[in-house]
Order: sequence, then C-alpha cells, then structure tokens
Amino acid sequence: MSDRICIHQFAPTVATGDGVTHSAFYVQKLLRRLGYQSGIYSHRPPFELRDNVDDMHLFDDRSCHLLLVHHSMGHDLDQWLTRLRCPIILVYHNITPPEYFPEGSGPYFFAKKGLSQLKAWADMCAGAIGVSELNTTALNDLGYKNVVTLPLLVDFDSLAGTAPRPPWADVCATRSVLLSVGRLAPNKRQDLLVDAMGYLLRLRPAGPRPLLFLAGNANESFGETVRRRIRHWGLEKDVVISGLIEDGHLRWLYQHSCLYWCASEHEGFCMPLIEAQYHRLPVVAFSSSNIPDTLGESGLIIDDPDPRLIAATTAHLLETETERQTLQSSGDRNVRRYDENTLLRQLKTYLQTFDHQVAADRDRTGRYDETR
Amino acid sequence: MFQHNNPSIDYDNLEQAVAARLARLETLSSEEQHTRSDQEHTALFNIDTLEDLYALDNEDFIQAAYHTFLGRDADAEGFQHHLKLLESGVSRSAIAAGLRYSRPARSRPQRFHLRRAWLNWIAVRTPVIGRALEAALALLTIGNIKRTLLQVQRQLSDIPRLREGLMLAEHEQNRLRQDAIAHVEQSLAQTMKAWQRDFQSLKDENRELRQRLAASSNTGFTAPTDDDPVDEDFYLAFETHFRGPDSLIRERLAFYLPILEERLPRELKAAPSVDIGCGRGEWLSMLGGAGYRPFGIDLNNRNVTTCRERGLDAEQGDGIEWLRSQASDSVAMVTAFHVIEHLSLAALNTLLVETMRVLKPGGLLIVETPNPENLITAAHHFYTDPTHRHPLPPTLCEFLLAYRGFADIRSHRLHPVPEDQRLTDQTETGRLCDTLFNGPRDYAMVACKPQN
Repeated sequence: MSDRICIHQFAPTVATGDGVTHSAFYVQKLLRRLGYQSGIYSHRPPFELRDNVDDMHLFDDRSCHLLLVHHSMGHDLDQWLTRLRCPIILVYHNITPPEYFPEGSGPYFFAKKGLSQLKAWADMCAGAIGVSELNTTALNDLGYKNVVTLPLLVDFDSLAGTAPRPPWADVCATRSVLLSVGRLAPNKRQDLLVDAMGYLLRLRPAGPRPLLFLAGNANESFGETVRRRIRHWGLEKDVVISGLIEDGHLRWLYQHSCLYWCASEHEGFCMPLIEAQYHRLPVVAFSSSNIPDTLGESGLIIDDPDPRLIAATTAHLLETETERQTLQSSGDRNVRRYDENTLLRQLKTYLQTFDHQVAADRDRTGRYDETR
Repeated sequence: MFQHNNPSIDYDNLEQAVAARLARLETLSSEEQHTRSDQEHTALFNIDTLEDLYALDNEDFIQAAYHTFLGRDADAEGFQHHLKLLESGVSRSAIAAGLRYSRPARSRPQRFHLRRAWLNWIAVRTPVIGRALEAALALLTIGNIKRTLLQVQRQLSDIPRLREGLMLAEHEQNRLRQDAIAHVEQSLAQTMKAWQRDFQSLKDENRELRQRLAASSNTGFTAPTDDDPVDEDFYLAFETHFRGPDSLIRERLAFYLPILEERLPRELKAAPSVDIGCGRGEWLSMLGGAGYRPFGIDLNNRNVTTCRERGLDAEQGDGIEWLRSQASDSVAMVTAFHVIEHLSLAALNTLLVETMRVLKPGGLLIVETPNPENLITAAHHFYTDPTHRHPLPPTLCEFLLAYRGFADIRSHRLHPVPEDQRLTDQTETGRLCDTLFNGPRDYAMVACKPQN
C-alpha cells in the first residue's frame, strides 16, 4: 500500500459540462501536483465519466486522510456523508436561493435542503473552502472553522483547447456578437438582456448589426419568458438561444464575439466572466452577488439593473475601440489573479494547516504500524 | 451609474457618453410611444364584430360606432347627444342601428345589419307611436322568451335522466374495478401457492442433501481416490510431522488473549465461543483457562477424540455446516486458525456470511492464515501443505470482511523470522530483502459484528 497522503473528493452528482465537475477535476490536478493521492467519488457517475470518477460505494474512509466535499445543491446522501470517519473539508460553490425556483418544484426543494445541510454541517467539517468571497462570508456566518477563499474553478488548460468552427458559425458572420453564457434561469435574468438588445437596436450603433447569443440550456418556463420578450421586441433574427454548446465550439464563440454581457441577479462566482476575459472579451455586467469580487478591477459594472444602461454602454463600447482595449487589458490583469501557480501555493498552505489531523488519521487507520 | 472599480477607465467621460445615448433612447422611446398610441387609436375603430363594438365603454363605443358606420370621428354635438342617450338607458344596439340606418350611412357600404334594433331606435325617437311600437316589439320578444323558457324546461326535465345515467356509469365502473381486483387477487393466490409448492420441494431437497452429507461426514474422511490422496490418517501424520511443539503453539496463541480482553464486550464472555478447525484443542484449553466457554469443531475425528480426552468440548463436523445450524446472534466469538487457506472462495464467503449471522452484536471473528507478503512463505512454505488452495493477501482478506459487513477490522502481522536470523545488511536493498524474506510469516484479521 502506498504511504502517500490521500486527499479524495466527493461530489454528489457529476456531469459533463457541469461547473462543479470541472472544479473537481481541476482540484484533482492541483492535489496531484502537490504530491497527494487523489480520487473523485460520486453517486452513480455517468458512463462517460467512469474512467475518472468512482462510485461513492467504493470509497473507503479508512484509506482517506482528508475528504473535500463539494456542495452546490441539496441531496439525499447526507446520512452516508455524516457517517464517514475521515476529516472533511467542505468546498462551497454557493446554492442558488430557492426563491428563484417555482415553489414545490424539485430544484426548490433541493435548494432549501442544501441550505439546511450547509447549516447542519458546520461542526462536522474540519475546514471549509469558499470558492468566492460571497461563499466565504456565508460559511463564516454559519460558524465554520478554518475557512478560506480559494477560487478552485478556473482551469486555464481547459480553456486553451482547440476551437473548431461550429456548424452554425454563419449565424455570427457579419454581426457584432454580444455573448452571454449560462443556462437560461430566473437568477441569470437573460430577459433583461433581450430588453437591452431591443434598446440597443433602437440606438443603431455604427458597425455591423449586433447579435445577442445566449449560450446555454433553457429552464422550461423561464425559456418561454425569454422567448416572449424576444417576440415582444420582434428580435427573432437578432437573438440566438443555442442550448448547450460543446467546449470546443464555446471557445470558438468566445473568440468570435465582441462583448460579454451579464445581467445576473445572483452568482456564486460566475465562471463565464473569467472565461470571457481569458478570451479577451470586454465584460459589461450588473453589480450583484459575487460579480464585483469576480471582476476585481476589471470590466464595467453597472449599479442599477436597467437594460437601457447596458444598451447605452454597449452602443458606446461598440463605437469606441480604445475603450474596448482598456477593458481587454484590465481583463488580462484580472485573469492573472486566478493563475494556477498562485492558487497552488494558497492550496498548499491551507492543506498544511491540517497536517496534525492527517497525522492523527494515519494513526487511526494504523496503516503504518500494523506488525506487532 | 457605474461602480468605479476599474482604475483604467475615465468614468467621467464614460458616464457622459452613456448619458448622451440614454437621452437619445428617451427621445426615440417617446416618439415611438406617440406613433404607437396613434396606431392603438386606429386599432380601436377597427371593429370586426358587433360584440366587439358593444364591449367598448360609452365614449369609445360612440367614436367606434361613428367610424364603423359613418367613417369619421364623432362631432362634439353628436357625441354628447349619444352619450346622453346611453346614460339614459338606451341600448348600444339601438344607437348603433340609428347610426347604421342614418341617411349619410346608407350611402356608404356597410358590413352590419341591425333591422330589429333599428325599429327599437325608431321607437326611442318617436314620441307617441314609438311607445306602441316599443310595446309591439316587446311582445315580439315575449315569443322569444317563451321559446327559450320551453327549451330550459326541456333541459331541466332531462336532469333526472342524466343523473340516473351517471349513477349507472359509476356503478358499472365500481363493478369493473372490483372484478379487476378479484382477478389480480386470484392470480396472486395461485402464484403464491405455486411458490409455496416450489419452496417446500426445495426445502425437502435441501434436507435430503444435508442428511446425505451428514451421513458421509459421519464416516470421517472419504476413502482416498486417485484424485484425492489425502485421507484422515494421512493428514494426521502430516500435521504431526510439520506442527511445532505444543509450547510454541500455545506461545503464539497467547498473543490473542489480550486482544479478547480489549475487544470482546465483557457481557459476551459467558456466551459460547467456537473454534473452527480446533485441532488438538490448544486454543480451547487456553480459552477455558481464561474463563471463556469454548467449543471446538474439526473435520478430523482423531483430533476431536484427543480434545475430548483432554476434557475439552469438541465435535466432529464441518464448521460451516455447524454455523448454519446455529441460531442467529448466539455466539460470542468465532476463531479459525489456519483454516481459510483451505477453503474455496465460495466456502470462505459462506463462512463469513454465517459467522456474521450467528455472532452476537459486538462479537469477534479471528482468522489467522499464512502471509504471502513474505515471499518465502508465499512461494514455498504455503505449498508444503497439499490441501492449501492459494495464499490470501491481507488486503483481499480485509476487503472480504468489510464487504460482508464486519466492522473495526484490524490486521496483525505475526511471526517474523527471529531477530538473530535476520539479514544484517543495512543498505536499502538489504532492508528490503530482509522484509520480503524474513518478515511476518502469518497474519491475523480481528473484526467484530457491528453493535446495531
């Protein structure tokens, strides 16, 4: 048996293209770079991820010195989790408030459950990682110990892959693409972006006619709300709702867009902002939840969530290249805040604070002195 | 307007530029609003049906009626006049008809015909005859009302018939539901009977097989064949040749007594403890001496006889079968020293399942077996006994125990080569060779049945 320290991860669900799953893979890469043995466990991982994620029933808490548990939604695996005998560090990705889901629906129930689980686990966890300042504040308020902010989300390697031309590339030709990435959901307020697009077209900014590209799956009822706004404005040819896009095509889209728009009311971190800046897109966003922290000293952050302000700001940016360049440079600087080596150092320092617990855990498992 | 978070941005200039565009947007919006209200105004007079017309409020109705029938806005006088009529209780249809059949309207193409309403309109406007006309028209409507009443009466008389039909349908539905339930119950009962029959015949078969097995066991080891040269005498001779002195065996077994003191709940000490493959009873006698209630099981009749001669409680038989015959939660401890390496995986599995069943909660299982981590044991000594199947690595053994639900599993590496015979070379290779060749030659797993 290996004498390396094992720091495993548990994510209740994993899926291709899912943000928390990406985060778990990224954390695994960092842990392995730090010399730890590291696996990922989940409840019934889908077939395509079986090579990299094991079923939670294969998890052996006696051979695990620290377990990082990702939390972004409630689940029914709490009984299994609370019985584990290894020390646990919660990685909190934020939970979308239940009021953004229809009362009585599944997401509403699990968002509520997720928040009560978060409250209940404060004593159980040896430490907690907030992936953003907003999450860290929530963890501190609930009395978690050893809390730190580590944005364990931004794997630049995955952003740097190839960008094949998508079959629908022609839609974007000859237009100034305004991009927004993320599932269509009430907290992301894509309806305001459609309104902003309506106002923007009234202003007739110089240059190619703008096109709003909403890249992400639609929540059924909210998708209809957005479509109704599109019909209201008569923007059927000026707004695209693409559905889920594969990673390579998304990279192509980032590379071929002019601006990134975000009207979210609630974001735990908002990874697409950093992805957009990585691809040198100027960002215009409303000031809400964690967005100012994610953007730091970059992007344009609008105080009042008024779509006319997005429209007027965008019209100005589309016509003023120097302003766009300034936003690109500040975006470059912001991206460097999430540099892997910086994060690796922070993670190493944080994990070292658990050395004594790991040592005690080694004694518990008895692996190092089995022979009498 | 903006958060001033970005030190590279000149926010004064930016806010000025954005404000200018916002102002332009405001202008465009108010222009558009104006155009839209004009369009809405025109749309108001675009009447498709008389119902749409009558649905408008008084003022819009008058304007819309003027546009529909006269193709123009209402003049102030006409508007006021008609408004008064509406407020005095004249119907919308009468006013619409008045406009429809007015002289200027007759010279225009018209979509709607309102003849009866026109007569009403005449009645409203004619002082004396009008009253009579109004009454005549009212009489005409009486006929309509009568007809409607008759229709309603007919429909009311249908209600009892409909209610009856509904009850019949409900009754039929109940009957069908009961039939369906009875059918399902019947087929379930038949299936149950068939299963009970199958179960009984399997039980009979099982009993017969057990009896046959017991009969064959009672005669001791089966006679050696060409495939199986190992009979009872041979194995006894083999054991006598290779086993160490009693003192060595007792010294090795003494290792476990403190473990029992530490891990076996005190209240279980009085419950029976079984040693599977008890041999000549060294462990049984040590357990008895320490205040436990030991019982031995061994396939070899001569071993059992030896035990009994020493005053120990032992029985000849198969350990797994013995476990199968015991009640659940009845035994404090199951021990098996150098037994599991003789078993097939299926038999080992059954041993663990049955042990888990018969152990009292908190009860202990101890198994000891050769340790293949010592390469000489794995490659040589293990095969000295021809009835050994294959070495069991400690990790496999630990996994099997955990898989079968045992808790608090602890492994103990035992019996390394004595210190004076170990390699003295302190190089890394030397130390590695010493571990691989002279390390623990046996290991034990001690596990307990969870309390709940």
